[in-house]
Amino acid sequence: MTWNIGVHSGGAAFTLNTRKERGFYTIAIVVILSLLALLASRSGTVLTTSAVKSGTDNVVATEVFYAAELALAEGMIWLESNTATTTPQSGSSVGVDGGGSNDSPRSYTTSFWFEQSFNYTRVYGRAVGDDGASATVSRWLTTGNDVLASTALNQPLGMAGTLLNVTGNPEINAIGSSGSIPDDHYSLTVMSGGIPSDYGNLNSSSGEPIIAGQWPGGALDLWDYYFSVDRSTMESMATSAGQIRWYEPGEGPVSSLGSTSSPVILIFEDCPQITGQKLIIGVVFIDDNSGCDLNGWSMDLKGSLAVNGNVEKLNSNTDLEAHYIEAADSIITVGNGADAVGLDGFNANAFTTTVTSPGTWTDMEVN
Amino acid sequence: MRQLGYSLVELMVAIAVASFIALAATIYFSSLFSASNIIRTSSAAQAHFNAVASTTVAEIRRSGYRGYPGRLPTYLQTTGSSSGVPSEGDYPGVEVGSDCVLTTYVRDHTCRAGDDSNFAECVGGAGTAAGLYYRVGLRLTAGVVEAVSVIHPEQYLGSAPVDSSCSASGGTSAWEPLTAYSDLYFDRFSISQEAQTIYDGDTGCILGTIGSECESNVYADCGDSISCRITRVYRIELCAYPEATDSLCDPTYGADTPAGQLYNELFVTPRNDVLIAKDYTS
Repeated sequence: MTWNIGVHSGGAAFTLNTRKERGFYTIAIVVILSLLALLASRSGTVLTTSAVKSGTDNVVATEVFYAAELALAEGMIWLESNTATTTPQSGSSVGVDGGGSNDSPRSYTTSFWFEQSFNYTRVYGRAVGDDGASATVSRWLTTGNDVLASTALNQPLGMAGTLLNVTGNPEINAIGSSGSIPDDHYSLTVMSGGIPSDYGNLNSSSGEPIIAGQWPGGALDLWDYYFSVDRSTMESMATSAGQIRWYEPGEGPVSSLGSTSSPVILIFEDCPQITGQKLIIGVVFIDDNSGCDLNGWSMDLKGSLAVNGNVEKLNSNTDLEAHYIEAADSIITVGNGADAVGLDGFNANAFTTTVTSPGTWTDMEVN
Repeated sequence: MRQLGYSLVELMVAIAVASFIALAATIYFSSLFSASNIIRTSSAAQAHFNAVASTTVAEIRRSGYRGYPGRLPTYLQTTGSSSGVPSEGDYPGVEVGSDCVLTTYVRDHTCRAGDDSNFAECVGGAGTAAGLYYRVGLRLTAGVVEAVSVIHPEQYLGSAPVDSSCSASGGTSAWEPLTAYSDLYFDRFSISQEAQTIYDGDTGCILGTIGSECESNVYADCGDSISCRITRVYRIELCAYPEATDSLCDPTYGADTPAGQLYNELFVTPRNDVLIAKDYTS
């Protein structure tokens, strides 16, 4: 069918194929509908994507913190055999499975570094994700060396009272073969005015003179002369198998403890009975102001024994030796028979153990 | 000349078909956009819900941070007890109330002029770097989750200028809304202590452990005869929906579950243990 829609000047009719004209409208309608469908579909896709992204962001925010905590743990392990540094050290690269076929796996690059502040070290752990997410966490560490007061090792035996009823032939070795004792060091230090009038047979075997010092006068608590942190802090730093140990009444070590490279600090709330000829290298502090009766003790101590009261019945089964006495002059031997040798001295700086300070984890105020 | 055109019937059929197509398209697109709006609204509600959940988790997680370790002894002295009722001191890491949780941790603070009369840490005057305990809390009040973030009231030498307790109300209340009715109605926001493990602060063994030095010790001994470290697990329960009506939440998503309900149960462990030092003065 054709429609005549006009006449040219020449009289010939101009005709239009109406089927083509209808096709044009169909195309237009299809295009409009397609656009609307596309718009709707796009809108739905955007919203769904947004919802998925929001959920993924929450997962990533959690993951990146866990990765940072891993870096923190790695930093603490690294510190056991390295020196703290402010230069970031690379940690593990952590890969996380996307959890489903439609989710991309994520990975986090971790690092850790340290800051020194007075007596403490702050360790930082940081994680950065391949999608840009990042987190930094930190916590503080304390080294055992910082808990010892400067006067703690100035005498092999310190007491807040005096020395009573020495029995047998005990030895306190603070001089060695040099014949002299370092400045401000003593064989034993007692309360002001408490220098014993009778040492019994103390040092009768070696003949080493006894150099007695006195703590300042007034109410006396030896704690501050031995440690630079208070009791509760020390207790919070103590562990069951570490360099600092704290014993409740009735408790005590079951074996020898400490070495010249890693001496120990043992705190007793009462006077224990240390038997079995145990070798203790470090500081033994008996925090019992009623004193301590050493009858029955059997122990060799290199370092210092402190009693927050009187010391009674120091006997021949307990030998005490200053930390600086070297093997050639030592009265404490290690090994048996022909292999027996004297015990080397140790440096006060050997009290280095890293412990985590409680209450110092944070993800605040960093980045 | 005869004019050819559509007949009336053709026209009516065309109009009918076109109307049908238009109607179908209208219904289709209307439902499509309506669904989009629902998704958008749900997505926004989910985002608000997640924000409350993640904020609560983060605050509990970082609670108990005591700042520079040198200040720990000062805090520990406020803990302990010799009465058999352990005290967690002036700044407990987490305090749980009815539909309310308060967390405490140290933040760096640069002292300003006048702070010296408020905080002992600022006696050095303006510009002194100090660590002050902050209280951050979340609570549910009539379907709205409110938040508070202020310097801890115990930190003030005198009285705190605002009330940040769980029961605060009126003009002195420091609480501000975190959510809005128009976004989401929170029906449940509850925090509870789900579990705890108590360690002897000296030996590290778990209290009550048979065969260890901790065998005969219990929580009541903390601060009295022993020092303790406590690791706790908190449970957070959140439920919200668009309808501003109370008590419709159904955690089982049963038949009466309100439309658009969001429910979640979260567990979080603070990274800093509770510390209770033995009371050495007793």
